[in-house]
Amino acid sequence: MRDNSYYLKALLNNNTKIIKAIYKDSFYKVKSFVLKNKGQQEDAEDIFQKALLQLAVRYKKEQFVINTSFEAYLFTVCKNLWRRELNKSKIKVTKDAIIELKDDNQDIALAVLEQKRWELFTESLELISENCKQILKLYFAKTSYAEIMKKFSYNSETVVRQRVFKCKNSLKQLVKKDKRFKNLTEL
Amino acid sequence: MEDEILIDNYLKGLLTKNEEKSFLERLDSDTEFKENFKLEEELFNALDENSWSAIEGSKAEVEDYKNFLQEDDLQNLKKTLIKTNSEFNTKVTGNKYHLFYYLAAASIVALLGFQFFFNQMVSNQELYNEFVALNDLPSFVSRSDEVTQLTEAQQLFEEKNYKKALEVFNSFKEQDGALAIYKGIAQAELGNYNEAEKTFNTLINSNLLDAEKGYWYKALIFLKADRKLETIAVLETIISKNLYKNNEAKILLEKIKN
Repeated sequence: MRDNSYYLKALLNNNTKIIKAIYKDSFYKVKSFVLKNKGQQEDAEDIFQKALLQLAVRYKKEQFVINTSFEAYLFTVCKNLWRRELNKSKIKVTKDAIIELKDDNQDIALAVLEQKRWELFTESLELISENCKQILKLYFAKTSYAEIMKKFSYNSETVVRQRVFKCKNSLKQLVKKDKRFKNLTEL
Repeated sequence: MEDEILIDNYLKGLLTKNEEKSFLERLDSDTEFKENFKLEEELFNALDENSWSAIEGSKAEVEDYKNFLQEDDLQNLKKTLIKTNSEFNTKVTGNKYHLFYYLAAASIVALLGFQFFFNQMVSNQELYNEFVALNDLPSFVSRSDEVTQLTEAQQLFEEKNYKKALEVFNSFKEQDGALAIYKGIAQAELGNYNEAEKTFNTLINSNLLDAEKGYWYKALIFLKADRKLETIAVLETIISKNLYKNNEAKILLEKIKN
């Protein structure tokens, strides 16, 4: 497998040939995901461009390292950008007049930080005990305490809730201990 | 524990109007409580697949990224992306519709009495057109040998004159990956699926670098021929052996099974 910075450098150097290859290798998968999740062709195109710009600007500023394949990472970023977009339009519908359209660069800049925070959270989630991880995944997916109780054969919902809070606390401790946290929290 | 239940209920929208009011008041006055709540809320949204945790406040780092985005290299990248995107996407779409109408017309003639199969047929054809990506086929133009004949044949192929193109492809006896792919697709376009299958089997069993591509195109001609089970079998081989286009194979397989 190629060193993943190969692609990141290619973006910064504006290497047309490699950029074309990235489109060829990854665009259809992203398109198929967006189309399956309430999006259109244009949404997929927009997301894909923003994702590549996001990777480029992040690499320019901090030379970050991708630990999976470039393709897999790019897909995750696109998926998150699409989640972001879907939730944005929810807000837009309800608070129509209040939200002003931010310019593209502002949007990309915010998305980089949000992606970094998401990475901190998901990486921390991988570090807690297997049982906690499973329980929290269900909890965050909005599974009811009653269902979690059944799945793990706990005696009562109160026990489940205590377990969820305990696990959430270990997760929060891990997040807070991470040196990235300070820059990513909002207060 | 009390606070945790309170926050949990707030995030799930379970508080009464009054409880919510005092909750929000407490957020304003109690910094520690607010800090705790913020992280809970961020986790709650970020780790839910259907939600997203957005950053709303202004942060110094946002300005840094914005400044970098204004610089020449990233502005140029933006232009390149716009250009690449429009080339990449219009090319595919244009070709897709062209072929689609042609094939839809052909299908109507062929299947006039078989309404029942029609929908399935068109949708497999559509999938074929989407995935075969004729524009991505290698070009013979840059090769030095047999330039005239092969480029001419490629031209005929692009004009969909598959019969004439095939005559030229058949006149070359040596083994060549790109040649085999063109030949097989042309045969399939002419409805000679068995010959196309043979062409790709020969490619698969050859020692050529392009040998593994044979699986992908074999899957596509099965799809075009509406031979679903065989398509699935070949796609599964591509995926399990990690062969050429295995990512596309996964997507296609999912679409066929749906």
